[in-house]
Amino acid sequence: MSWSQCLPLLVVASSLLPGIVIFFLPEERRSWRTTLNLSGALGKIVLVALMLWGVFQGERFVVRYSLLPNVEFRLHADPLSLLFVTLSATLWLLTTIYAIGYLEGSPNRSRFFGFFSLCVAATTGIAVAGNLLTFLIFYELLTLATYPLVVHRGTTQSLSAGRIYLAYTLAGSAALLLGVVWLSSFVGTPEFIEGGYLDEVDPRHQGSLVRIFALMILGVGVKAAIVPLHGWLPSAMVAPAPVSALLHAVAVVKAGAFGVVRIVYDVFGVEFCSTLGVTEPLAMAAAVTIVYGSIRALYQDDLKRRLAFSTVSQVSYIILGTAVLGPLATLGGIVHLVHQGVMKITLFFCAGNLAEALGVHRVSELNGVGRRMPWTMAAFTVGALGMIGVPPTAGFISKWYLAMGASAAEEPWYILVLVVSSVLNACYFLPIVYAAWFKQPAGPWPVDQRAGRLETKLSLLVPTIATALLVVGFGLLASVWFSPLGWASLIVEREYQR
Amino acid sequence: MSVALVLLAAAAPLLVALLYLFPKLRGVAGAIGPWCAAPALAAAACVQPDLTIEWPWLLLGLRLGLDPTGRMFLAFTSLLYLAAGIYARSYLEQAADGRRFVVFYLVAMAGNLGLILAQDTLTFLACYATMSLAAYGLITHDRREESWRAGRIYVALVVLGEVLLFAGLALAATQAEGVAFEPMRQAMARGPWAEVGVTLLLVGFGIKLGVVPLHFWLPLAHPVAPTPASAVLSGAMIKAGLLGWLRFLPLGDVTQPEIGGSCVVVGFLTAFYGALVGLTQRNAKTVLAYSSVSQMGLVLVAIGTALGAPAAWPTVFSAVALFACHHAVAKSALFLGTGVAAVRFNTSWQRGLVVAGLLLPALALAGAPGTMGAAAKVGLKYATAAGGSAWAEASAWLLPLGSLATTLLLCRFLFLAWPRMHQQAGPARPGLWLPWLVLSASVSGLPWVVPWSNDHLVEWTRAASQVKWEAIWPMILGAILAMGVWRGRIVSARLAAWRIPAGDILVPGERLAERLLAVWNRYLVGTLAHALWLLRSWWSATTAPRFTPRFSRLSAAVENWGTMGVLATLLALALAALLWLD
Repeated sequence: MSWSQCLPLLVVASSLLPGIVIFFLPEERRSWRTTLNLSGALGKIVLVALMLWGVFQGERFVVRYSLLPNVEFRLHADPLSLLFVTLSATLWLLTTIYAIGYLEGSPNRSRFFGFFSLCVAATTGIAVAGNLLTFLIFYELLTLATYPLVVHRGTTQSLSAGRIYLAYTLAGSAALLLGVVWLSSFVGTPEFIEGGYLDEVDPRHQGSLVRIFALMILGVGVKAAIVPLHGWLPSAMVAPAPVSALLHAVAVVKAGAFGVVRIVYDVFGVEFCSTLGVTEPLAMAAAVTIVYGSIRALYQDDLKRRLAFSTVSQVSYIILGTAVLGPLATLGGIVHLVHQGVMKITLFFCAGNLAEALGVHRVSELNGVGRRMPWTMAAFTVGALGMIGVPPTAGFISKWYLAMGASAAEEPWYILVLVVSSVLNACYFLPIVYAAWFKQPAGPWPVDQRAGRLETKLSLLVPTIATALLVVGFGLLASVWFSPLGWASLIVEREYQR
Repeated sequence: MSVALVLLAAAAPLLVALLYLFPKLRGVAGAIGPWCAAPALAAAACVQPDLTIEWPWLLLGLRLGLDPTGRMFLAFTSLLYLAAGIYARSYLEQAADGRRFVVFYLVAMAGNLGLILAQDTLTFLACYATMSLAAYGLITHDRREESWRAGRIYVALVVLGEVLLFAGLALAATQAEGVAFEPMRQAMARGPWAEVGVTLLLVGFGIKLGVVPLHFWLPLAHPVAPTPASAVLSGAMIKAGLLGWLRFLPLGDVTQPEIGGSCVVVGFLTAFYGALVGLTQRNAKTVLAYSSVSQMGLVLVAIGTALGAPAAWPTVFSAVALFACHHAVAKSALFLGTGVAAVRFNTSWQRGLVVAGLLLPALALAGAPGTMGAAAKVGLKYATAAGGSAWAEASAWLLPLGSLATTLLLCRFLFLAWPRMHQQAGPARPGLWLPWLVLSASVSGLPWVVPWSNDHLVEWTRAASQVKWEAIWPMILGAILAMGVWRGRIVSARLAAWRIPAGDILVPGERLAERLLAVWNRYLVGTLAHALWLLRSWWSATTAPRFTPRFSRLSAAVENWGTMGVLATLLALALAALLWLD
């Protein structure tokens, strides 16, 4: 095994090892912890960049180890893994900076950052997993590592949210496990491959395959928050803002959506899926989720809860793109994996800034906040416009390709879903933007913490603005080869080459 | 050189708006702000219209450039922004929040000029959205109750328009090779959903133009916006919708008689409905807004003719472009005039001049000989006649009726805006009347100054200088009728007191929407929530107790984070060990 070959392993280790070390650091070793965190995050980005370059050149990194005869632990880096790894590595760095600022002075930071790193290690593992078994291992690890973060505050409310989270995700994991084992009984656990590996299966087993597909989608669908499996996500918003960012943009929800993409494209193969007749129900489920999540979001006054329902809706764009046959829809779905991540993390950072600096948590308390926190609210506005899909933001690019895909697949009613969702997005985001910029504040803020001349701490402001710039940048520079769209076209090319 | 000029034209307003971010540079920005449209005007005058700048790495391949259509739109748009910008500086001189206005004005200008220079779909859409959203800040500038309401309605329609355009263009984009205009237009003509796409675009851009029944934002937004904002709103921004039609509709390529016919009908409906409702208004700017609705109805008639008969397209195109140019200049002159007419006059000579300056663009809108309006009317007549169908005959007698309606409406406007002596207002400042006078004069002078490249335009301009009975009888009849009404001879006092609230159909519409929302909330959402609550309480009363002890034991085990940590770490270490052994 050459040095460069084990890059996928190193990428996982780059957050696993700091995480383990941080567990054993005493609470007061702040600088040590920060150094470890940041060097892990930066190191990961360097490693990811090396891999990106290699994969772009056509190289394929594989790490394998036989656990049992015919059962392999396998990591590999293909373009799809790298899309996800790059997203989570970049956002992890920003979230780490944010979390260091956000949790300053609060208790149990070693525990927090330990699990935080573990969580990202698991996510990276999910991304570079080379077969279903490896995927499953990291997927379970992610469930376990996220739970302590959700209940971090230790309040009754967060404990109950944690319980709901566990109930949902463990049930999902069980379904996924069952599906994986059942599928292995037919074909073992070969490597993920573009176009899937089930063509050879005896046609008599098609009924079983449909059931397996359903089980596996149920399993990953819990994390991807497909209605009616979404209940845990809005209740988990009691967690601190960096955790919400992690749940919604970097790790958990993304892992679910990524799982759907992997299963559809690299296990079953999208064309085989449509022969099985499972894409249509999946697309329907996504469409229902998109509309339902948006409608529920309309009724939430708690800002983070509103954002959570918005995530429910937006993540299903990815699933819709996956389920609609054809390269354009695939492109829209895959690119939204990244675009939704940067947009939603921007919004959660903003919600965190508002809570931290002003003690404001509710939409109805946001009147006139734009004057007090112009940079935060500018970032929020960019994120919200992105969610609505106003050009030239990243959100528009996703919607454009999804709509073209729906039209190319001769299923234009999915465009109607996108249109309805955009309108609903406008209905629940624009009033916030309006209240923040155009209304007069009702009175003094619950708390008012300035950081010198800045509206809030620099460590909270920099990640927020950076992600907002990415939202615009990904839209404006969509045609460059290293943009998410450019990379996603590379993935699509390989998927549809076969 | 031309490339630099075009880029400067597109970027100047945005760059100056950015200067406002730095408190130290705000003075500079304030000084050059009003002149930001000058590079665009220069570009429209000097640059040969065959220029394309391509940056394939921006958006999905950004293209900027100037073509003959774009040049015409750029010319009148930049002229309007220049005049209204200078006007705004005097108009808002005393206002404390003038700076906010300028920033929104500059961003809206950047969007408007950008969408004219755009040569690909995405750039066009991005600029269109920028302009539409920035205009919200202009409409709500005064922060009164009515401004918020107008702004809310405006934004709702902007969002609706955006999603309709998105759907229509995305349907076509699949068929197109790339996102440049020409392939998009061809794709709009093909494909299984070509008619759906065309309809979506007609409605989506039609909202901006104020086509009935989606016109109600105009009469709400115009009176509440500061006067220079109303001028660009009615003069330049609604023309962006027209430009959208010209860029994307498969005009001249494809015959769609059903859609074309509906356009003609809706267009005439808009023209007469706007004029009639406008007649009952009490606010001069609301009357002007209804007049814009009415006039844009005529544009829709021309577009509908071309959709029904592709052969008519060259004529229709010239007519529509000339009409847009004429309406932009005349309407914004009238809007700026309402501000000038409200100042204090010291001499009746001054007042007479203002009256003349108001009359001239009003006459032009009515189509009086010697103005650009007359040329536009001639053009419209030729355009509808070129359709050569049943519509042509109908148009032949409906168009003069339209002129009559316009004349009446403008008389109503003049009655409301008539400058009076001894008003309680500030004196006229040159910053107000100078740009207004320039616009008013261009209404009549412009057609003879511009070197028209198009044969139609040359011919119609020549025809406009001749006085013909069939062109002026509606005006004369309208003027006589208006005089009669004013003297109280023709209509009863009750009819004269009749008033339709601004926004007409919106008023019952809003009530209906409120009721529907209440039904939705109470019967659907409320019932569902109640059902869920029942289900949940049933669960916790009957089934949950059986699971709770087991589950709480499990959760107690995992809630102990130490257990989780040890488990997770062990799992990780075991994996690491396995790999190391390999």
